[in-house]
Amino acid sequence: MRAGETEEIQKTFGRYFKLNLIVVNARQEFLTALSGVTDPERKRLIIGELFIRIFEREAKKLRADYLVQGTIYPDVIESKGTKHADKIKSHHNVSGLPKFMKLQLIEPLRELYKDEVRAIAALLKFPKKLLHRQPFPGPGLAIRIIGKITPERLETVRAADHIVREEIIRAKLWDKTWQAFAVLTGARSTGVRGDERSYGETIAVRVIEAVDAMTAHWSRLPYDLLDKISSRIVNEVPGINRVVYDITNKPPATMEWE
Amino acid sequence: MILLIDFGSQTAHLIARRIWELGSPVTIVLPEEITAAVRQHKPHGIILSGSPKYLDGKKPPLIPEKVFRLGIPILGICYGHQLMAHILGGRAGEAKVKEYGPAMLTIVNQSPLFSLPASHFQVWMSHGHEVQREAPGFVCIARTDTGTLAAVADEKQKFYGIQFHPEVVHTKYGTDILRNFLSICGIRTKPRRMTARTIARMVTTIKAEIDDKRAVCGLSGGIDSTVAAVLVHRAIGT
Repeated sequence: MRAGETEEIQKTFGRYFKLNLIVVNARQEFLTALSGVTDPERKRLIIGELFIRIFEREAKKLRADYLVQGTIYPDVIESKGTKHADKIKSHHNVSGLPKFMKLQLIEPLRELYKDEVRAIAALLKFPKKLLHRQPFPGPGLAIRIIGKITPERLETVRAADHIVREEIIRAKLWDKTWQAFAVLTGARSTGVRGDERSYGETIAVRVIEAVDAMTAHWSRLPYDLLDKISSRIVNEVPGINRVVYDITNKPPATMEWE
Repeated sequence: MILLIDFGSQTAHLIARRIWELGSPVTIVLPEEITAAVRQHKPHGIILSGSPKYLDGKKPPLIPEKVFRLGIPILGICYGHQLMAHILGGRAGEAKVKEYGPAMLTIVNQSPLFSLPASHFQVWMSHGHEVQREAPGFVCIARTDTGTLAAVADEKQKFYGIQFHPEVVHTKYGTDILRNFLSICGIRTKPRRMTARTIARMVTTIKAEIDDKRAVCGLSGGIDSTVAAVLVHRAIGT
C-alpha cells in the first residue's frame, strides 16, 4: 500500500459503503516470501499465490466458497488471454493464481476496460475521490522496487512515491494524470553532496496519461514541478542521490517497470 | 455482424469493444475457426487483428486464401494488413524503421475508409514489420513520415489494410475509421454506452452464479475491486 492509504480506504468504506470490511495486515508474510527474489515474473507469481492463501484462510473463517476479484480485461490479455497472444506479464489475479484453489472465482468485470468500470462507478454514484483514484498494481510496491525487496527499500520507494503524489496534487494535476509514481531502479550513481562524494540509488518518476490502459503517453509535466519533485526526493529520502523522469510511451514500454 | 479474427493481438478484444460501441454485433474467433465461423455467422465484414507473430517468423497464424473470394469486405489491422498483402501476392517483411507510439499519417488517395474531417493526423503504431509491396489490385491510400505503406485499399473488392491501430484512443479519428468500415460493410451504426440496464444485467448474472453461497472480495481500495464488491453486494447482500 502507498503511504496512508489503508486508513484512507477504511474511512471511505466506512462512510459510503455498508460492506463488511476486514483488514488483514500480511506485510511480514509478503516480505518473508519475497526475501531474496529479484526476477519480476517470480515476484508476481509469489505474490499471487500468497494472496490466494490469505484469502483462503479468511474465507474459511467466514465459510465462503467464492472469491470476488476486480479483474479487468487488460489483466487477462497481458497474462496471455488468447491462443496466439504473447504473455506480457503475469497479473497476480490471472496467471499468478495457484493451480489448486479452494475458492471459486467471481470476476464481474473480466470483459471490461478501466474507463467502462469508471462509467459503472459513476452510475453507481461513487464518491469523486474514489472515481479518480489512480490504478495501483495488484502486486503492490513490490514491482516498483527493481531487484531485492527489503523493508528499507520498501520505505525508500514509499517515501519517494509520497513526494511525487503530494507535489502533483499540490500542482492540481493529479486528476489529469492516469498514474504517477516512483520506481526504485536499483541503478547506483555517483553524486556530490556538501563537497563529499556520495554513491546512492536512483529513483525514476513515472507519470502517464491514458484512457483505457492499453496505450499511454508520458505526461508533459511542467519543468518547475519536476524540479520540485526531484529536489525534494534527493533531500528528503535517505540513500537517493539521483532522480530521472521516464519518458517512454506504452507501447513499447508498459506502465509499470516490472 | 462483424467477424473479428484474433491472431493474438493485445488489442483484439479492444477492437471488438469499439465495434460493440458502434452498435454492431461482433464475434471474436481464432484464425483456425474462420471457415466454420463464416458459415455459421454469415458476417457482413471481417476484421483481421494484429499479432505478436510475423510472417517471416516461426509458425505465423494464417487463414485460407478462399476467405478473400467470399465477397465479404475485409479490414486488416497491423499483422492483419501484412497477412492480407502476403496472401494476395504482395510482400511483407521486417521494417527498416520500426514505429512504436505516435506517428503522423497523411492520406494520399481518397477512400471511403478515410472519409474524415482531416487528411493529416496522429495515429498509433506498434510494429517492427510492414507491408513492403502492396498486393495486385491495391493502391496506397495513406503514408506516415517514414514512408511506410500505412494504409492500402482494393476498393473494388472492399479490402483494406492499415498498419496503425484505429481501436486505441491515441489514434485520432480511430473510431470514425472503424465506423466508415462498418458502413462499407452495409452495417448501420448507432452509439452504445454503459447504462443502468447493463448494471442490472451484471447483478442478475452474479446472483445466479453465487446463489445462496457466501463470498469474500479481494479489495485493494482501487476502483475495479470496489466496483466488483459493490455489484456482488447488490446481488447477494452482506
